[in-house]
Amino acid sequence: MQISSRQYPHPVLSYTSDDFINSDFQASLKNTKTNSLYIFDANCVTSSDGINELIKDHKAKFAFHFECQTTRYRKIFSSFDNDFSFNLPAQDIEGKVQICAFIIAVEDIENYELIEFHPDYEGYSFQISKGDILAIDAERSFFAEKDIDPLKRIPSIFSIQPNRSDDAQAIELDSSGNKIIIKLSEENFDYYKSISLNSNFQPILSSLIVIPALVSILETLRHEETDIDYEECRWYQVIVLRLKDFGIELDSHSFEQESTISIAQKLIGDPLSQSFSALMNLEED
Amino acid sequence: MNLHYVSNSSLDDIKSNIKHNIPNYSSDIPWLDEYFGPEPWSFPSKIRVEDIDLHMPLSSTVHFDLENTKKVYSTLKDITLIQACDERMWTYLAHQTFWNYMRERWPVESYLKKGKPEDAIRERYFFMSNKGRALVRNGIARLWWYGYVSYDEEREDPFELTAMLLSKLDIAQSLLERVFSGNRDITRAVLAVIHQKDKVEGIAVSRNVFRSLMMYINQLGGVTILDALVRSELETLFEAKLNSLLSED
Repeated sequence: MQISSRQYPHPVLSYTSDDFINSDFQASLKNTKTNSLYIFDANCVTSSDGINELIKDHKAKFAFHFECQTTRYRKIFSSFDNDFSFNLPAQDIEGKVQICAFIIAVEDIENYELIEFHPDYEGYSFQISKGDILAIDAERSFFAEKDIDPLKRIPSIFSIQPNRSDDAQAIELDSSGNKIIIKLSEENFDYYKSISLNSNFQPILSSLIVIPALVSILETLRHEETDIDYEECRWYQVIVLRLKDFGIELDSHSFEQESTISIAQKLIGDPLSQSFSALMNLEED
Repeated sequence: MNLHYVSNSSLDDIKSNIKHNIPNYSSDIPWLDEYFGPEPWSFPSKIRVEDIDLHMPLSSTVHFDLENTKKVYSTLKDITLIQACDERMWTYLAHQTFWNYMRERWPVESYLKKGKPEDAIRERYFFMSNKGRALVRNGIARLWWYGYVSYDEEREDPFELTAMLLSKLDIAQSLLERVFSGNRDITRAVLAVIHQKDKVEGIAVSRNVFRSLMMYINQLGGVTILDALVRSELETLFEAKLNSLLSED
């Protein structure tokens, strides 16, 4: 659920508006995973006495709304308690899952009027329906992925395929899916397949094929020259994880300052030096 | 039969080479065995299902989507959501198991005249890049999802709402491409009130009225968390709005 700065027909406690004075709502969520379940531990607090009163009277409750674009899964988990836990079947979600935290009305409320409302609302009361949003915290997301683990190697996010078009370029990229597909002209693909049989030549192939592709991808991420939501792509999640290993965050100064070619070398594990070494050994043989 | 999947690498190959393979989509027989030659390009899953014999479309207007939805969804009712979103499975079914059906229902020839046939092939034989839409555009996956969002075991005919969903093309498209359609209570509540009006009370729901109802639900979802409401509450809300729209129509 995309929560932009919406206009509501009643005051909503939110970090994006001043409908409420000196009040806030914060929700935190921690998750662990078993083979079949995601287990969430939630903690929700609001400093609005009026809303706390409604929750105590079971007229409002804390709620987390989950939405997974990949599987179309949507579900709400809610409680009257500040601390609560809930489970989500691992077989229902995959990829990016958007999570919104709310306080929502449990029943219709006539004459909704709280002392914490902005003075502009003085003298006004509102009609609230069951399910209406009374408070919102910042939207967040997590990536549900059985194949994403911190040890995942960068080369695994590439798939090298033949480009069978008559007008195929030597090398082309397609990064719109879960893997980055490197398309080689048929002639080049045949060379690649033959050479890849010799494991000593792997670093050379990485330098020739994977490094330029990765540099191109990193440049795209740096300049955000696309309308594709890369966060939905598995390859993006793996790159983000591996960058963190080197203390680099996307959108950070370190990512902006360091050259993409040196970042790519780090991510792949310095194939350039290994290539020189392989070529020197070849000469000695 | 055991459900088969196209392997990751094979999927990458044929999806990267749609343009080159356009002539293959006119073939009378499945062509992937010949295309990949001795290389293995698919593998069996552990999911065992009965054979499905789809109704062949008779024309561009008589395509038996309801009958085929019943067959596909009944046979694959127990697959998980993640399995139902696996492009490799639907790609195999579209290119191999149900090739003859796909050739009749989504013939490439009809796209050749319109230009961009590769986009149409990607949309119907694979998954397009918009993930939410991809599931209801793939020629076989759409049949499963039609069943999933409308099957109602509490009705004497569990596919009664599916018939409503597929009675007009506009309903299926308008409903399934909305984000809230991931919640089956919402989709079934919409279909139930339309069914009540149209089939029980005999009051026709026009395309404009249906679209206005969809817009209302979208707007309502911006203020009210619809997923927090039970089905009877959703039906009450939608029915009230539908009545007011019909009185204005």
